[in-house]
Amino acid sequence: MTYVVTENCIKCKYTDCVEVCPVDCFYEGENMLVINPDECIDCGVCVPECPAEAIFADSEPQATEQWLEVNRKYSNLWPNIPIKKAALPDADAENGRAGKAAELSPNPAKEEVIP
Amino acid sequence: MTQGSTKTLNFHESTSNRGNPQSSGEASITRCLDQLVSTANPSCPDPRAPGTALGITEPMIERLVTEFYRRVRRDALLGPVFDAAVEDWDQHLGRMRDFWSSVVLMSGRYKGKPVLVHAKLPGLSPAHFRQWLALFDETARDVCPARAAELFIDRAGRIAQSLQLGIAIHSGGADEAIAISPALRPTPAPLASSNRPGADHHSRGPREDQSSQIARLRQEVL
Repeated sequence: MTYVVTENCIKCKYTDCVEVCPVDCFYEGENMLVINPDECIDCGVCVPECPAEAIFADSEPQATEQWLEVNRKYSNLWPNIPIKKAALPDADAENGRAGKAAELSPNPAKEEVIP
Repeated sequence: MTQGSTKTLNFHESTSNRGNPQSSGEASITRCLDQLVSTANPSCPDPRAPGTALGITEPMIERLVTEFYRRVRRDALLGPVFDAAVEDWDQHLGRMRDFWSSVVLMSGRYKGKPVLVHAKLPGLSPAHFRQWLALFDETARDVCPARAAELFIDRAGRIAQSLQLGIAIHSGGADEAIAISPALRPTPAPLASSNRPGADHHSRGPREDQSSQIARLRQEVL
């Protein structure tokens, strides 16, 4: 069993989940995070931490096959994100907006140089 | 500055900055604070953590971990496995306190790759996991109030299930997960790899097929 990041993470990417995840199983795309299902230990601490309420157990109806596949696929393509960072600039405005699924970027997160 | 006040500062910083355009300087400061706090072992209980409302505290976690591993080391099945794998017990108990603090109090203190660590241990079987869970169940009920014990036991069961699936995937792929997962169920289920379509690893296709198979497994072991 695993937890799954779903549509409402897109263009928000608050990354609060990353801070509490004990096993660093989040991977970062340009505008969304995903969970590696083979690394998630099903502890569930990320769920209440997500301001966008975008994380669901794979047994819940919100974790559709579409999002299971997005998490499975992109966690093997995107870089690991072990440390929380600032949310995307329009995160609060994007939180809850419908129709974001079509706006998922397949690109990995851009590398950042921390001064 | 205490660890507790650092955590508070981080919370307000990251909350107030969400959604607002930041100058690069402000963003850098926020990022540095976040990085500092993420390794600072915050001591303030998080009200959203599942253990907070149940009265779970760091001292309770310490009592549970200490007593559990005292029993583990005396256990005929588990003792030899742990004694062979653990070089420094003080360090291990500290990591286990951090792990449970992260799981039930959301402290974020533990960061690790437990699937990989367990996958490297030779000879781990479903019997080891069953005994571990039985001993943990017994210890939690002895050491903790009832509702707190239930939370620990629930999380331990879920984590053990995920670890076993993860180990199987790392070490042998979906076929081993099929073989292991029924043992995790409360009652045995007739699930044999030879009876499942596509379960023959010699005929398994590319990674997508295996992933689908594993996804189905996850549904089945729930």
